Amino acid sequence: MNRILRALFRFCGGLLLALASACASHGPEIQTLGFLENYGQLSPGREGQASLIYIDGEADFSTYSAILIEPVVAWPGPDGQPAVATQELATNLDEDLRRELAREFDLVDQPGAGALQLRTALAFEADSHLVLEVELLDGVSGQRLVAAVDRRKLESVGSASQTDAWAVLIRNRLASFRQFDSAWRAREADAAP
Amino acid sequence: MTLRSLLLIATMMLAIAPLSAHATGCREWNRMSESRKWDRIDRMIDDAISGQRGRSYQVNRNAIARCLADNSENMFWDFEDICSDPSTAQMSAIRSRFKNYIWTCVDG
Repeated sequence: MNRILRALFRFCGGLLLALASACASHGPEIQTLGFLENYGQLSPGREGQASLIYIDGEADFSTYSAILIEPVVAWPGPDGQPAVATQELATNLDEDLRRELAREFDLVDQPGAGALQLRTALAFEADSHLVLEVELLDGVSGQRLVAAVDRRKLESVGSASQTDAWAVLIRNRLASFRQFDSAWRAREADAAP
Repeated sequence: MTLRSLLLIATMMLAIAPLSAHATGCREWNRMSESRKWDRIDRMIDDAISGQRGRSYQVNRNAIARCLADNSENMFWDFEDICSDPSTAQMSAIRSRFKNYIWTCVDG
């Protein structure tokens, strides 16, 4: 009985997925800044996630103990210059990231073994939305480990709360990945013949 | 011992060996019974929230654990889907997909 219910659940789930895909293909495209390379690698996140996301499943975050934070890029507007508000928010995000990530990693100023490299760009759109594009690379190979595009409505222009929230989220996610990969690696070692 | 018996033992050993491994790729996943798959998801959730790997790791573990547990049914079918499709059933597919759930749940 349980198997029949599961099969039914799966069939309905597949049907809903197909319908959702059909709707999504006609939905609005997610706008990107052009800061990241190869957006084709990213896929739409689920509800509550970043708008677009890529996570390298092979990456072992437990092997990274340091991070190089590149200065946050204030993305230019149509006139080729970042707005003052964008510049202020980028400065806030830069400070927030350094404060939060220093609680999890050694901050370094050169890429190297055991170090992640964080690239971030921020744009402030006319409709009061903030767009964050973020990419984590391996400090030696430059291989992409995580990439995400996030777009959120800013409650008040100049508010530091959104940049602070993003910095905390990035730190917590990386901490969780390190925890999970550490346990995964331990299990692989146990399972090795 | 006949050749047939030896072949039977060898086949059984090959079938059992991957199941004893803790790490999970699609190949292992597809060979597991349904109850073992649920056990594996529970263990992955434990892995994500137990221990103290990082310096601070002040993530709200209870909230993440609750969120991951709430998503376990989705994970099950997600893993079933990616592992049944040869184009997505890479070795790292389950690990990658599970990290997507962590990413989401940390946001919650």
